[in-house]
Amino acid sequence: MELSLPGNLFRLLNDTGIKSLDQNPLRSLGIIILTALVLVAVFAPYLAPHDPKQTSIPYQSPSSEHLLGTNDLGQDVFSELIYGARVSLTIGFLSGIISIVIGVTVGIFAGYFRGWAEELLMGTTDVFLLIPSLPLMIILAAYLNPSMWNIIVVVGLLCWCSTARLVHSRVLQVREMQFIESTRALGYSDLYIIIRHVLVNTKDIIYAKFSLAVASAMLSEASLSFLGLGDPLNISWGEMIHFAFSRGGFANDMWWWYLPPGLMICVTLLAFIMLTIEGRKDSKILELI
Amino acid sequence: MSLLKIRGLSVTFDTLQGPFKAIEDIDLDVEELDTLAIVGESGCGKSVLGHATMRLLDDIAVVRGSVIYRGREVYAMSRKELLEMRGKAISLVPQSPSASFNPVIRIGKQITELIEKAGVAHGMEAEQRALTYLEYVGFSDPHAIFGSYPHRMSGGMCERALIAMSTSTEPDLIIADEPTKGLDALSRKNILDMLHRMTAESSLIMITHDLKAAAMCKRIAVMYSGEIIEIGPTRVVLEHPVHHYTRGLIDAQPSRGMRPIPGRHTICSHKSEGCRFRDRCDRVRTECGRHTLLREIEEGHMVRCHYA
Repeated sequence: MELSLPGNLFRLLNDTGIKSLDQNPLRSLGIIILTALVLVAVFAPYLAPHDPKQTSIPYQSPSSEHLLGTNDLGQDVFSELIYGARVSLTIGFLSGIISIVIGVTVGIFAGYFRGWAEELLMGTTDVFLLIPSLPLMIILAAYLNPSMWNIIVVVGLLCWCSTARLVHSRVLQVREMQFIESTRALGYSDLYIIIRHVLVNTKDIIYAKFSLAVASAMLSEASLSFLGLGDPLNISWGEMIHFAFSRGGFANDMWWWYLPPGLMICVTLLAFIMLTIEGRKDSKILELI
Repeated sequence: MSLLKIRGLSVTFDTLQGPFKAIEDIDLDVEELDTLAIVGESGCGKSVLGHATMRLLDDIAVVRGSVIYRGREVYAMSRKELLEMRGKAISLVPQSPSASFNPVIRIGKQITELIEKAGVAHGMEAEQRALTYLEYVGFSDPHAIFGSYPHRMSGGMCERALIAMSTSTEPDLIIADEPTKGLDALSRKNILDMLHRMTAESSLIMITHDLKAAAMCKRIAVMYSGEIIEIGPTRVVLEHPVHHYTRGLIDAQPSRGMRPIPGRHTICSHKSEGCRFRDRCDRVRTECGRHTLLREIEEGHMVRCHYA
């Protein structure tokens, strides 16, 4: 029996499905892109050639001094882009976490306990699904102070519904499986069964949904920021496009100002979506359903 | 004091076609180190009886009657007491062994967790105990099984692992639900030998429709349409069956010429009056329309028939 630490570590990695990456090149590519982006965000102060707030000659086209030129205030767009990764990824991840935690909790409790809990929780989910979320986000963001944290909370609190529905339907399948009944017969408590048996067999869709939730949160944030509802102190990619738009970048065809943040948003979203691509044998439970 | 005493146990499911009584008025006693086989056709209520004994049907059915385990009423236990009893005092070996393990957790981990939950042992000691039991149920390489996922094992291996898991907490009573279902003759023999060894320390209720498997138990209870129609010492019941259904069941065995009982098993026990077997019985008379009780015809041998 491999009880030594390296053995256990290998098992842990094996259980998370990392071993199957060699059969899943797209997912590997997604992981590589995201790791690179996270590293860029973390080490932004070391990587950015200039302070993004520092001003110099405005409207410069790309040169060796300013790789992506400067904006209307003479700030270096490349440095702004690197620092923007911090803001965009932070908002994406934190909103994604909030929405996943709410969605998974609602889905699991509704699906496992059924009865009135299900009706209440899924009814609430339906109501939230009916609300057009982008207009509501705009209204909320406009009324609250324009801060990064408000955006995180607003996006997180409005994006959990589809996760709840998805998790709920999987839990409905899992709870009727023989091994759940056997586990109950062995005297395990409901909470234990939920955490150890139901959640474990739902984790593949939770991973996938988390990835998509982060992507959609980043997109929502970009939309809000583009509309000028972002945090002016923490410039995200969406806000860079907003400023490029409102201060004549589009009109004067300064592509280096608006194109890079747009591309970065696309690439990041694509990387998150690539993460969710299923390998051949990623989910053992799928074979049983 | 009996280990398990079941009195007047009835289970009613609420179906779209109205209430459906799966078992009715079951009385059973299981003593310490007793072994009892419950036999009958599919749908006669054997598994429901097993599940109701462990109070697993609370959420989905109406259960009446009482189940007394070591003097304590199971249906009056608190949630905590109930969870403690299940798996530790009474262990259920469920049907369909391959589906009874969580597919994403290794076998050894699942057994170890049960041992830890029951408080029998912890940490390395629990793992060691799991390995001992895997070896005990006949795995020559318990370490390999310990680290295997359930889908990598055959039905017979899963059944053995399941028995290892259910018995690793040393329960007083094992309820084995169709332990030999779908197994070849050799695996079946292995399982039965193993269960037999387990009964040195535990009582056993074996739910089965395999009379050969049932023959290893000390007593047999025959169920038909939700009722016990004959119960007694194995030899007596198998060699001198009194109820016509029991006879038919024995004659339907391949070794006895495989003569099936004419007619169909009425799954729904809507006929609460009279003998439920009367539509298929060749000795049926007018009296059979009246309700009968289990009557003791000799020491420990009880039959529910007007002609007994």
